[in-house]
Amino acid sequence: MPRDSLLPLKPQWFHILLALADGERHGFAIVREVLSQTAGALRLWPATLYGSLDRLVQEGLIEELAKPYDHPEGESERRRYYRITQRGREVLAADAERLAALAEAARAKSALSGSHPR
Amino acid sequence: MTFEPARTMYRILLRLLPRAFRNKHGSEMEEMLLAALRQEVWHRPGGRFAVWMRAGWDIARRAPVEHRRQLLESLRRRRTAPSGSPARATWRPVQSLLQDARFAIRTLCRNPGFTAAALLTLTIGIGANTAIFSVVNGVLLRPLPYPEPDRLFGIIRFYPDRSATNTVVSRLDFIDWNEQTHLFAGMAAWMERTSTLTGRGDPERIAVAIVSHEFLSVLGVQPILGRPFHEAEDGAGAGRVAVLSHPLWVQGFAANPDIIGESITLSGQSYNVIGVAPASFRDPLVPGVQLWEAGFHIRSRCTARDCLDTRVIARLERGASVQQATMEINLIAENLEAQYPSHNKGVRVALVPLRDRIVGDMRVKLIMLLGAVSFVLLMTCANVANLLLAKAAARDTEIAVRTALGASRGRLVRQLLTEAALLGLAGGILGLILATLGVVALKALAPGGLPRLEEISVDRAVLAYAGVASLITGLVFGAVPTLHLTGARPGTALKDGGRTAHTSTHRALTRDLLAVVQIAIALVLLIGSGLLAKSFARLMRVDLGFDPTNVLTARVSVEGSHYDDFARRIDFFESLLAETNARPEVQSAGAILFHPIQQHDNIWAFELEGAAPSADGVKNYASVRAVTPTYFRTIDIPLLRGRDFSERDHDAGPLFVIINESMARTFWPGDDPVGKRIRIRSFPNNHLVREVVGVAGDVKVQGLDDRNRHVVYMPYRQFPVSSLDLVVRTSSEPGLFARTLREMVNTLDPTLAVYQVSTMEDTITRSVADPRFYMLLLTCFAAISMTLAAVGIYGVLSYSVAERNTEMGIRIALGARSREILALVLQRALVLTTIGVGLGLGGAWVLTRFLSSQLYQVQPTDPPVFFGVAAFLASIALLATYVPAARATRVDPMATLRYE
Repeated sequence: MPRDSLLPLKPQWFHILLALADGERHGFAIVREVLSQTAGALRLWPATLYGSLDRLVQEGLIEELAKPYDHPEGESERRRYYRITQRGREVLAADAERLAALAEAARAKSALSGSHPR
Repeated sequence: MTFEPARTMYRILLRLLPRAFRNKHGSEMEEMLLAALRQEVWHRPGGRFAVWMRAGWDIARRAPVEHRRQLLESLRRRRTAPSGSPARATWRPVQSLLQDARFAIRTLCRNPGFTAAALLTLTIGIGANTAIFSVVNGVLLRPLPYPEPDRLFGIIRFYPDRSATNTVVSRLDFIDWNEQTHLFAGMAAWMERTSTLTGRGDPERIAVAIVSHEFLSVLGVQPILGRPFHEAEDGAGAGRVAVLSHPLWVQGFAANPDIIGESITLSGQSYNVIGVAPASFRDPLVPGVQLWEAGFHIRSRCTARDCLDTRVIARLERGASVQQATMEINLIAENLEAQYPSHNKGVRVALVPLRDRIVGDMRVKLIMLLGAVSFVLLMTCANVANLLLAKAAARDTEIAVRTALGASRGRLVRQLLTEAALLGLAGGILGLILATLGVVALKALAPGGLPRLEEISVDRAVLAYAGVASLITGLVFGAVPTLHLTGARPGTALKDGGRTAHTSTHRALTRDLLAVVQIAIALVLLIGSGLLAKSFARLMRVDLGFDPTNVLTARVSVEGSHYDDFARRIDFFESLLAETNARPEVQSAGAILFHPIQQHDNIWAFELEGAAPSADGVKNYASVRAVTPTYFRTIDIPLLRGRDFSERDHDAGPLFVIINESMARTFWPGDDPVGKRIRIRSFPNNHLVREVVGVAGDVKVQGLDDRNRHVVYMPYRQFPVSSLDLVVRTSSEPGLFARTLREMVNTLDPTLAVYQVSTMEDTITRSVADPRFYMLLLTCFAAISMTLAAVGIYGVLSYSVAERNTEMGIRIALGARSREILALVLQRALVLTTIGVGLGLGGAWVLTRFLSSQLYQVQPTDPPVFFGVAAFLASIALLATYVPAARATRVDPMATLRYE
């Protein structure tokens, strides 16, 4: 699937990719990371999280680690770990740029300052 | 704190997700939820609840998405399988069927509105049908729960010259039949009684049957404990013995396995328990019988051949035909007629299959219900066919494309039929669920008169019926649009995007036809329920002949050797009545053997003194009652002539009767019956002359729909029977007096039971439970079909208005006023409704005659009902067309013209 058709990313996809940007994580760790990323505003619930992870794997944006290998924290073996792919990084970067451009446009119109020129 | 219950609960929620998803992620999801539950942030009031709500919503929202993905995934995998593989070639038909099914499911899911409407209609249609069929199956079709039930017959009296029958026969006739026939494997006699079971807490009134010793063996039943009756136990000499029903054994005797040989007390007599019947065994004639006793020949009160108190069941010998057996037993009947001309004149015998004997007139009612509910199914088919037709129009292009791409006609038909069959099947499954609930409701609401009630259930036959009904339904409504779809020419359909003149005219005609049929069927059902409702209203307005308000009735039987002395009976009832009358809340109290509005009766023959016996030997019969002097005053029956009974009418003096108005009018037309005398068999003395001292007003004896019977009232002191119904009129709510009455009886004699306690108004309500039940069911069906018909005609017109949008637009643009547009649409509705109503009136005219036995003082072709209901349905139909008609007037001419 061409990269652009994935844009704009669904919010939960964006946050999952962002959470995986600095290293592999299992599902629960992703939830915690997204919570801290968004200052507690976005809580991913289990079915949504794993549904999204499956779709991201299918789209080739992330990959599941081949087997529960020497994972960093030495946690339970039942957990599946995910890692962002190169393509995932590209899509994430593209979406982040899109958001930045939007933020820039907003700022240019003083939308972010809170005052509305009439 | 343990989270195991939470884990289990979440696992149940996880079931909503596809299995593969669950297997892959389930355990991690559980951990995550448990962590959320543990987390500090949720430790505020209601926090856990909030977690559950969010988690539940999360799964509910995600489940359809994941299921869809799973389905697409599996489809993709299948498509990519190598097409030439041998597995595929072998399974081509199955493959294409599966493909059709999958495609059909997807099509149905794409049109949730259509699918929901079709499924709802089908569920109601198939559900109502299956529920009624369950009743028909349990009552009429399922074999009786006895071995070889087809060889079981009831033997009844038959009077060919009067074409009348009597299910009760003479005990002496039975003895002769039983001795002289050879084509029966066995013949058993049966008498109904109620007795008071004492010695176990409060005295309890139970239904018992006194049977001849062959009873259990004729039915083919062995006791699970003990033994059946012996021949010697029929007559005098042997002790009193009884076989307990299974429920009585379990509830009354704690299923005591050592019950055999124990003695129990029934109505003051001691009985030896010799057996316990199996749990599945029900008395064939009265389902509530709790105990069977022997001693048939000594317990009958009848000593003459014209005294009828015996019911006979017989089992045909293997190999003997009903005709042979009927002939044989009638030869005996002819001999008996020659031998006893005064009693057996014109008496013949008929064999009735035991099942018909049990079901009785319930057959007509159930077949009527099944007929009505089949009409509902037909409506369902018409409605879904209509829906499919509407959808078919939208699919013309799709079908055209597929035809153009080379899909064969057969393949397309199969595809459409698969869709219809799937709808039918889904409707069938939902209908079956509805039917299961419906059966529970029907069993709870069914009037007491429905026999074999406990045998009604959803069994294999019902499942098969539901299956066949839904399949046939699917094929019927599926066939209609199929015919049109395949007639479409791909060229035209593709060229103008589906608006082809040929198919739409054709289809419009079919839709019109369906709407007409729906209106006709709805009208037939509405008229049927209208007739029943009118009959019921008539029944409720009937003149009872007495005043039922604030009247309590209760039966008391004096039993046991103590009361063999009639003076003691009279004493007991007189002191009970005196005490009752002394209570401040009692206005008046009296007693009668068999109060009005009940099936129990006491019908005896009588002769007018001085009149010659009638030439054809037909006797005069009257319902005979014993009453206390206060009875007429208490229940408010007017005395039209003569005097009431008084305390002076006692055993030692001359014998008197009061007769009712009908009897006076029949036998002494235009003459005063007071002072006339009748000869009537009586008790304790036989055939005594009694003088008429008064004429009382007529009352409804056996029920509200009873004809006016001849009634003879005797003073209780001159007819001291062992049971009386106390009739108490209170100044306030009569039900409250029941407790006081029980206490008073208990003080007078603690061994006596007070039973059949009811207010007169409840008795009346119960007596019409049967007609009310059928009326309500039929009304329910009629309401469903009327709604479907209204929806049907609404659909037809909405569709035609949508189709003629352009035409309307042009008409409006050319200056047509809204009234003219409205008239244009309504005209079509009027034509359809008129044809439908005409057909419906004709159909009802033919069909309502089957209702005539259920109607009280209403003709099956009652014109006010016919035309009133027709007008009602027509206005509903026209109302349903108003919305599409109004829509037509609002067509924007500019929009349509621009579109053209």
